[in-house]
Amino acid sequence: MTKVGTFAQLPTVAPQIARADVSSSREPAEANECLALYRQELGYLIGSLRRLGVSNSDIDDVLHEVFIVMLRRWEDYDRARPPRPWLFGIAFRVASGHRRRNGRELLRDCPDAEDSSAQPDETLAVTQQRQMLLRALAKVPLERRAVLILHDVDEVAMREIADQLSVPLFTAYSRLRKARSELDAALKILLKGGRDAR
Amino acid sequence: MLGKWLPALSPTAQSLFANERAADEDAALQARALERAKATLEGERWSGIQMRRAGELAAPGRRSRALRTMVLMAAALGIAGLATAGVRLARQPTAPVAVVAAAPPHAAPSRPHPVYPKLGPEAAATPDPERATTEPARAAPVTSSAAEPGNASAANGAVAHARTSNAGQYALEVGLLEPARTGIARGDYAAALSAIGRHQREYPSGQLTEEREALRVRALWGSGQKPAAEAAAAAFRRRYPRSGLLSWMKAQPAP
Repeated sequence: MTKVGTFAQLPTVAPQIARADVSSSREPAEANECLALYRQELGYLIGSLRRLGVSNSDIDDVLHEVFIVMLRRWEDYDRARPPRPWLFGIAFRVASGHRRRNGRELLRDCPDAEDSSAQPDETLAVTQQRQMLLRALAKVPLERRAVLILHDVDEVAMREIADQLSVPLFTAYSRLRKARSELDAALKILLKGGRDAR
Repeated sequence: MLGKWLPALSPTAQSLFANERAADEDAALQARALERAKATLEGERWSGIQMRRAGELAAPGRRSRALRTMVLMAAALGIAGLATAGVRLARQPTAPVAVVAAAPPHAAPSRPHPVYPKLGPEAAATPDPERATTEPARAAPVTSSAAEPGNASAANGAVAHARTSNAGQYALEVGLLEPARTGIARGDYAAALSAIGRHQREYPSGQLTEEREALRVRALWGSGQKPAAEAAAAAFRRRYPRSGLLSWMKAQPAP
């Protein structure tokens, strides 16, 4: 029955099929516009995918899937609104699909994968803090983590979050509440572990 | 009221989030991602399906990676012969790609979908000026001419004709499958399945059979026929175990 899960994700994950959709009826100017937004927000997308738990080994492919979905969904993009919540919605769905396909939590090698040996102390401290946050975020279930990231990192209004994640406003608040508690609990454990290790 | 119900962020979390907002992401990864995105757009343009809309894409810079990707995509789609189509297809009775390739890039900017050649007897009966000029070259039966000893030019003609037929058939197949892809794109899965069925009747073992079967899975799934989609997916996996369309499924357990 694993195939059910596989093909449930087909709309967002089959690159060749997605490419077929890409070429449906778009003018080159629209593709260029999409590429320009992708270029402008690449840093944000990479950060979002990392916070959503995509590992270093997968991030190239997942990022490209996000671009493919951006192209496919370009007509849904509302230029009157800020692009980041829309981009995050895509990144969230692609990352969720990727995680379901792989049947595991994505943040497997992310926190430890970076080589910190050649970094200056200040950068090292920042990197370590970042890795600790990513580890703590990994303890928060993805649906709640998405709300937490959008609200507390990206500073997006709750109504917009509910809209982008297609959930009722109350559900979004409820997820934020739980996610904050879970994050704090995870951070406490990590900090305690760090102190004990010393 | 909400303040009591919703716990405030701890100072630690606030500090980490501030750090996260200011973080710079890997520049090398950004460069790779951008190259890949450009290559996808380039590949789309070069696939032959988008040739009529071949406007100038803003994709300057290094071309080597994009070129390599394009070549791989062309191979994967089985369109190696398409490069010859623009030149040679003028000899085809229906000459679909020749029309596309000969048109200026902006000839039909507002046309949402391409006009593909008709199939069947009505197409054969359609007068075609291109055909009229090239008909003499194809007048002699290819097989008998090629069979004559020493008739090298006729043999070359046969090879050229075979190549042309190949590219022509490819263009016709693309034309048949295009409604399937646009149907899926706009959620009209019934139209997509109808186009897939027509392609199967016309070209049961055509050059785009693999793509057709992949589209079938998607159309069946989209139309809610999940058991049929699963069966089609399993059949696809058995028939094309090394398909590029399966690359995204590699992490799955074997069926």
